[in-house]
Amino acid sequence: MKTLSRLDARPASAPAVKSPRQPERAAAAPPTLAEARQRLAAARGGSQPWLTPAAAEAPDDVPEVIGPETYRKV
Amino acid sequence: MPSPGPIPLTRPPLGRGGRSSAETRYRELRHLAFQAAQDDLVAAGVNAELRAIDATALAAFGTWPARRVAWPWPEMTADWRRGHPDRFELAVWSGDALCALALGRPSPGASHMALYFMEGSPDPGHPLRRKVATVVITALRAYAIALGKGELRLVDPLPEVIPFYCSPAMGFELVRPRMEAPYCRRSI
Repeated sequence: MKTLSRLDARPASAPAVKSPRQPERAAAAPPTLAEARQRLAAARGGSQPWLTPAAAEAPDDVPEVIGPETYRKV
Repeated sequence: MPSPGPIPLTRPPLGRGGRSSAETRYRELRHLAFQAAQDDLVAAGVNAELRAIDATALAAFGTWPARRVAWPWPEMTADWRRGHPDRFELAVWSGDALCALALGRPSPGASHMALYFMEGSPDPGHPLRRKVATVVITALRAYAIALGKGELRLVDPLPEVIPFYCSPAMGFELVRPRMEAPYCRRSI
């Protein structure tokens, strides 16, 4: 008697089974340079201006540091 | 019968595969984004040069005097290069002075670009003193836009810097997720 494999038994509407070893990040393809240029141009011409660096100086007592006290591999 | 020639003693370089092409593509994307950010900074009167963390930057980092944190930038940069071709990797220069180093990475989806480490030069006389955060965030934002992300995150900020980043000038808000490091977030 033929038994259904797990894939055969999966309804067509169910999401594909992902291997736990397959990294999530592998699916994302980088944009092309043309796409990136287009996005940057659109952002510059949009309603939200870029930061105005002169207006955003840190106070003297604020350390110029972001991150945890000690380095941990991420 | 002709000799098949010497057997190569080394493997061919890791350069033909996906990892290398991803590394090249993201390097080009960072360059493009940093150029856009740098143009805006210079137009605003901030003389900053945005580059990758190369050997010159790491050599200059080695001369930094007493620091607020003891992060090992050479090791960190090597770690991040191994697993994250899409990383945000930035050395901020002004003339011959290395003013800051920063590392981050994008989320897998369209969600956000996160800054994990930023350290300004501890030299109190460096040319971008008090402007390092703005310069790095301008570069982070440009790279986030180039990759189509919707939000910036500053991960695990020191408590004493949170009021500055959450001020109206910087526009971030603090998020404290359960079981994870706090972060400051801002829409692009």
